[in-house]
Amino acid sequence: MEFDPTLNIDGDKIRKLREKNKVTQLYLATVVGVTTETISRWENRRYPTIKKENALKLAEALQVPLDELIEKQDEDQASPETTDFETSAPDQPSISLRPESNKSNRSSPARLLMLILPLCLGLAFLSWQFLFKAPSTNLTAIRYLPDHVLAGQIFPILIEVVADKSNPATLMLRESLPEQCLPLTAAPPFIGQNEDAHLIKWIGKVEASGRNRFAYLAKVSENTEPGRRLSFTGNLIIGRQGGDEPKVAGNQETEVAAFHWADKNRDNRIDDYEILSVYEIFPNFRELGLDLTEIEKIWASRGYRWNSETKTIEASRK
Amino acid sequence: MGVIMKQYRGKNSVRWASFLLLALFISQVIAGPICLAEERQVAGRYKVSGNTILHTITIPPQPPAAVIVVQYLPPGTPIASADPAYSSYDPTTGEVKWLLKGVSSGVLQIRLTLAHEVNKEKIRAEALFKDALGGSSTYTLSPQPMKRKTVEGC
Repeated sequence: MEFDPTLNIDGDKIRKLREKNKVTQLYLATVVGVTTETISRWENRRYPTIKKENALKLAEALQVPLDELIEKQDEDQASPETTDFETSAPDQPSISLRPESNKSNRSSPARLLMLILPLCLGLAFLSWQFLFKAPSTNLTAIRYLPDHVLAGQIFPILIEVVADKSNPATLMLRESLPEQCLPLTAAPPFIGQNEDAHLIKWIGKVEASGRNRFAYLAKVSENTEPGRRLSFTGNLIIGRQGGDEPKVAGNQETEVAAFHWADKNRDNRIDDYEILSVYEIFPNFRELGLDLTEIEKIWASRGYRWNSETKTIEASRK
Repeated sequence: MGVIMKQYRGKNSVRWASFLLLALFISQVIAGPICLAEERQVAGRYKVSGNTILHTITIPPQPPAAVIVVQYLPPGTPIASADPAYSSYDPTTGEVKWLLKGVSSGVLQIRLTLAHEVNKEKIRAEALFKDALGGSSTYTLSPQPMKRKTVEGC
């Protein structure tokens, strides 16, 4: 039986990093694949140990190395006994773990705390009003998807995320592919793919007034019948509190047809402007793993034809 | 009379200052976008010496991802050599093309050597590219000395 390694995490550090990155518990929960309640418990040290797999996702979402989330054992209040007790009874409130003798010693500070607490709560509320109720960043995501693809062909998709002038934003981009398409590679790379191979995700950042490009390659299943329309959907999850989940606009569908994806006007040629468009839209084609040799060959020739029997493209000679 | 002249001169100075400010404003409004457009344009010239055609292409500070240079020769013209090698040549139409990828800002040269001299009046050349705004552009490469300069956008 396999045993998942667990790690002791520093809840305070997680909360501080989350607040520093201005991301919500919901955002972290979605990225890691747990509930917001679990995130809350991690932050409040009610679950001091977590699976290493989740810790790695958490570190990635908070954009820090894993080491930064690990609790330092030499701190005064982090005794091993406390950690063990909390591990065995995760729902137990952490205050009940304090030794009784400490309670009497802390009676005066407790009173002080009772006085300061409402003040802190008031200040926190005001800070929330001023900091997080600031105008949220508006992000727009637009997908470039070829109008048509060949059955069995590998083709590129680009999603460009553009931020307005307000603030930089941390985001998660989710893209759902039709069942006839499988994602292959991406630039930047995907973050962990789910059991559902047709759902892909990225975490990224967009500077104020900036843009970020997410490109990937997909392959259409060879037995997809011509004329079939394939739908792509996607949405953004914005880290900043109060953000919505805008859908990815732009092309939503592609049709399976007997034309190369780069032959936009379906004239069985790849003309000068079509090949220039490919380079313009995918300047990072090498990083993406997109092979443009065939497109260049067709462009340099008189045209091409799709051989439905051999399922290959044949370029005509000049 | 002296006071009147002083006032007149004073008013004149204000008018001149206003005029200069207005001129400056107009020049900024009109010339600004033109300069910006120029910065995004690929340009070039070619020179014919005997049977050699030498292209000098200027790539702007914001270079496009790729540029296509097209040389139109009289149909059937035999080519002796090309540096860099051309991407395609159709002798029936006389179209020679270079696909230049990953170009960076600066000047690049293309040397085409023909098997024999051709009539300079019967050849022409173009540079095709996408500008920084994604629009398609064709730049007609003019022979030296310059006879014409056309920048077309579509």
